[in-house]
Amino acid sequence: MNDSTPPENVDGRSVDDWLKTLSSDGLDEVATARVAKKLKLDRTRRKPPKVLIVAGLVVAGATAAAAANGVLPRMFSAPETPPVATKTVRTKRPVPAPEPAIEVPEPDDTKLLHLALQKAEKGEWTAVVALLGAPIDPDSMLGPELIVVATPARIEL
Amino acid sequence: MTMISLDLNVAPSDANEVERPEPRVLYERYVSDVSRWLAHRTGPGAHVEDLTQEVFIIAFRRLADFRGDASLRTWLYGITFNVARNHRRKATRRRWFQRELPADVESPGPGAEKLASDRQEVQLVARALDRLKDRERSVLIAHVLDGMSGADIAAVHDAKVETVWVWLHRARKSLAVALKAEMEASR
Repeated sequence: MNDSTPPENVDGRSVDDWLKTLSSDGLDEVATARVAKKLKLDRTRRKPPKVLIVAGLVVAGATAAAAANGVLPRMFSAPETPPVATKTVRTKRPVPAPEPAIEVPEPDDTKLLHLALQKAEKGEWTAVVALLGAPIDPDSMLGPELIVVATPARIEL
Repeated sequence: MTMISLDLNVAPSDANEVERPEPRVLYERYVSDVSRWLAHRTGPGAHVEDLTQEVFIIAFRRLADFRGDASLRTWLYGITFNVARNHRRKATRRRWFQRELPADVESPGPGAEKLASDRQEVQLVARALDRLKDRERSVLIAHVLDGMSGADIAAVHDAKVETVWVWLHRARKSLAVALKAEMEASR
């Protein structure tokens, strides 16, 4: 069943036409964004809290120290598809060839973490830290590996 | 307007197939409709922003209770309808047709005259609409301005579709009478 109401005319115009003078477009884009912010729907644009970054670094540092002492077994495996800007630092054991991709001047856990913290404060890294605690092959000359995965400052939650 | 903290991690409370989008998706999909509906029912102004926020706060809280008896859009329309009605009750003395002319049309000229004429017409229609009973005004706005179907309006008002058409017919007659009365009064 449809609306079969005959049009009511006033001054040569239907009442529907009169009523449509009150038509509105609603909120504009700016106001829409403002309401979204009030509703906390704009979380993807936020940086992760600093406390999260620091906590990650502390955990990584403690784990790195334990791994360097040979306390921890291998707990994490490297991802099949490495994330962007992965930097691998070999610690303790000297390596025959220099690593050109390494930005850390010395393979020292403390300095590396200090550098990561500086990067995080500048917003260059958001400090996602993972760790390989033990040598991949105990018989090889590889020592514990500390992998710092650096990402752009914006993070998708 | 105070900031209200919400738990936005709304998840379906049962395993049926009812569509319950994430709050952000719900907002992006319907914010235009909701704000337009609110402006039609309460008039344009800064309050539309606050009322839009209020509608979505309620929607987010109740999303888990949505059963899919009507479409998500109709469900939101029902919330909007109630929020607008409450606002209208609270602000009976604030009539949106009393708003001031924009500052950039203060100088005389053909544009300003047209805007002033339009404003007079808008004021006349708004006053006429104000003479109608709540339900008549509601169904008329819902159908003519909001573009809601008879079934949608029936769902919001918990009535039969045939009843909605009767209401609509009476509302048009009432508005015609009210418009004529307002024209007479303004001469």
